[in-house]
Amino acid sequence: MNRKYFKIAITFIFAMASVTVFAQDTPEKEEAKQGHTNTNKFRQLYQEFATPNQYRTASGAPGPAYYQNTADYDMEVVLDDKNQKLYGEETITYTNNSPDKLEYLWVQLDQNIRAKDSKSELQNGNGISEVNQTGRFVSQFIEEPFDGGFNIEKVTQNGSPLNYSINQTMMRVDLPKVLEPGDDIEFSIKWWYNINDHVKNRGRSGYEFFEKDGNYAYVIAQFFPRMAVYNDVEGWQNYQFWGDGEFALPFGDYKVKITVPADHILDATGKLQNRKNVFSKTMMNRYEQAKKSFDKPVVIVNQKEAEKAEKGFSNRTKTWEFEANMVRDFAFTSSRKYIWDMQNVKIGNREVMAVSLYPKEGNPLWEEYSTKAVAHTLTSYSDMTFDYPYHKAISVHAKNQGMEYPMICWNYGRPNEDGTYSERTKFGMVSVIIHEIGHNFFPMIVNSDERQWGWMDEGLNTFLQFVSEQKFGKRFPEAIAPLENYPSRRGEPSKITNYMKGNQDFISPIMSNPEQVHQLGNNAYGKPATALNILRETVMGKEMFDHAFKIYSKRWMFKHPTPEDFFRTMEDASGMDLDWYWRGWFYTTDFVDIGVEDVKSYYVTDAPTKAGKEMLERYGVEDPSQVDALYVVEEDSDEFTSAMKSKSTEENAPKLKSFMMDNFTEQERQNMTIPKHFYQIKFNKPGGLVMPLIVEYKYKDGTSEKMTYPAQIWRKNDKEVTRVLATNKELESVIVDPDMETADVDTANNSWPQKKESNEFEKFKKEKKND
Amino acid sequence: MKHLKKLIFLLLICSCFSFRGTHKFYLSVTNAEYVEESSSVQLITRIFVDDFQKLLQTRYDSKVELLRDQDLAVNNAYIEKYFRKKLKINTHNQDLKLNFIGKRYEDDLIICYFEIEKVREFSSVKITNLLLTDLFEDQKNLVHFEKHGETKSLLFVKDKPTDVIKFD
Repeated sequence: MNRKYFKIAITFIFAMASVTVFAQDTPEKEEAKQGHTNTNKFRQLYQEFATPNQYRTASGAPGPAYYQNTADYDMEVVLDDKNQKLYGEETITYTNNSPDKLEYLWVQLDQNIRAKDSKSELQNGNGISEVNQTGRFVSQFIEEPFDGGFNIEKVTQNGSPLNYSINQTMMRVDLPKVLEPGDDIEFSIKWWYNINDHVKNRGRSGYEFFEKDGNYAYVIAQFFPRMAVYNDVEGWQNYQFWGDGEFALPFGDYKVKITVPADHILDATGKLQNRKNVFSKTMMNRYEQAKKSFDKPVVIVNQKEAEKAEKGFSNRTKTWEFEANMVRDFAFTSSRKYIWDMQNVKIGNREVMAVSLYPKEGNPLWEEYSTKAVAHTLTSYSDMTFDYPYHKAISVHAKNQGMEYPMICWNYGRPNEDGTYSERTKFGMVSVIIHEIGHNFFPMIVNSDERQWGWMDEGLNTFLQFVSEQKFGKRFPEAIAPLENYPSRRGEPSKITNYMKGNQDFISPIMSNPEQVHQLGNNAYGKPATALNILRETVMGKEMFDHAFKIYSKRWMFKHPTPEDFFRTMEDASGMDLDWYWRGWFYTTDFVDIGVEDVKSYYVTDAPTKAGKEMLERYGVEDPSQVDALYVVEEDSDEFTSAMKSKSTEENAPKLKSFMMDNFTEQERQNMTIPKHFYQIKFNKPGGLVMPLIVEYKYKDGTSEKMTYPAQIWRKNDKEVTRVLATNKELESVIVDPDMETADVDTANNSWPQKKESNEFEKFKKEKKND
Repeated sequence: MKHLKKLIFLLLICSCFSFRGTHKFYLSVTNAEYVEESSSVQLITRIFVDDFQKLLQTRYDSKVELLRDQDLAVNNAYIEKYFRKKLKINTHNQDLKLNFIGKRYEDDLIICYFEIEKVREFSSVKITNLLLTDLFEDQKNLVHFEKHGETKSLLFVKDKPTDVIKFD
């Protein structure tokens, strides 16, 4: 045998060493395994993703044939404050930019979810209780249901009636003539409906009745028949509105006139066109001041004026006129109880009004925090995406709901009757304002399909809400004192572990329709927000993530993205393959659990060991002295002597010393250190998710170092992997995910030597005793 | 009167819908563990504090406030009383007695600690969890029960408040 052959053999043997560790674990006599398809967790998402095409490219950007249809509205609306009814007549101009001929149009009738014959309630199972609250019993089994839903009076084109057919919350309008690509059609709908009480029945839209003064505050949305989206992905998105899956809406320009009692204060989506007609002189002056105020809100209608107004009831009316361009929806609020404040905010080179409307019941909390939170949200979200493109953003106080529309949203957070409020009410209110104002970016501008993908706006928005809340805490430390960080409810990895380790029967993948999941809050908000937070802070790094996220926001601003457009853009703009991350976090219900199983300590020798000789024999080497090789002795093995521990590696292996002398100059040798300790650490992964392996090595001299092995370390073995740590220091402990940044659901296996941690319960009990 | 009637029935129609951008969901999570060395069951329950405060106010005293920096004996008594009524752990056909150890707050959650002492070894445990279902129709209560390193999870709702876990 010539020497060259030896060298190749030895190289081969060493290269195989790490593989043999696993091979030895396999029982010898096992039935031959059957074949399988590619189940590697790093395989690309070709099966899951739609094929890229001319509409949507493989890079995640809109393609050359990308199109979207538009719906422009011209509406007149009348609010009957005596009978809580809303009347309207609208003319819709629908433009078909698709390459397809449309034979009919689909219009959404969201109010029909409250119709007497609505099927929404029927789709849920229910049961009878052993004990029933009498009132509840009566309403469940005896009383007539609320008479909600649209009353469609007529649908016409140029005065002639159009045929239409209503299927629950969707209305098909038949066209006398096919709508050709590039053409538009103008048609009108006249409607009215009974407004519901949103406080008692938890609506997104409706009124709140104030018993003490007999007044109503209206937050009105989904109030007019709205065009459905037609696109390259769904055709017509006419999936029924059942209640959880929110909205899919095309962009358009709106002209809306709203007639309300003359003593009402009103604000809405869009630019107010007749301010001089509806504002008093005092209000006009204050408004001019507000435009110049960049540091604090200016009150347009103060509490005293609002309290005076709520004592009256005007029989005269006023009409407020608005125009909004490139919005996907329209909403408004109206009441004689409203206090109104606003301030100007500089966003890039634009000026945006941050606005709040609230009854006196919201004070003193609302005057202090609402507009401040609006202004903060506009700047912090713009930093992460694009400059907020509209001219204003309004936060309206609604007793117990949070809901978003273009430029306007409803938010909860009501102090006690004596004006006191808890920390929780305060933080709950600031958080919901950040969240709902934040929705202007997703989905009002980056206009995803909420009906199908709740997480695309809720998840992205809850993630940005977390970022914005943390910035709020840094920017206004006095507002969160004595806390150091803003108490965000979602976003931190440790906050999602309880959900992810739960019973798999009640967990759905993020990529599920909102109507079909068990825990919408975790499914569409908490988990995707945490997944993005971990992706940003641990997997991609802030710089790379933020760049890619901004590209996504800008690419799909005023357009309709799909999940693939988001996934693809994040990879396209960062140069990182993230298919494994999307697959695990978004397409499965797997969880993270990574641990350290054991650590073996080795010393180097040049005397052939028993195991070394056996290995050489297997490769046909009878005489080890012919091979230039080093061997290792495990500390627990028979061949180990305590003398080895006190000697240096060179002393244990003189051959290594000669090799160093022969191959390096003295100067080169001075810059090299020969490690004394060789530790082989075995990590395991009981959890299904692949994640970077983050490890802290602590040494006996008190020092430590943190290593991050990329997630790809699991690509060839999803269950376990070993790493060798060569060091001059003696290892004391190994900790996996020391900063709890991966959402590891079980940390009992995260350290070596395994610590018998006193559990959360015992820790608390002990503290309690020491108090 | 007419109005009151309207309010009452409206209250009901939609108790099963949820119409929100920021979703208000009703959930509690209880982690229970049987600890062999001390023959005890340790329970940690996480509930949204605003929901729980509302419950205590509605059920016991409208002036109850759960505040981060307070530890009032009267509140603790309400909490213990309520849990003993609504969270039943039953082994060997006997309801076990929950002892309230204490509570703490984390963001918008209240975390309550209970201990059951002198628990004989068991292979099956019957759990009834009706926490907050007397106020919130769509309240969901999750229980993770750990015994000898094995964890089993159950989901309870008002219509299905009782279930049995069998350990091997």
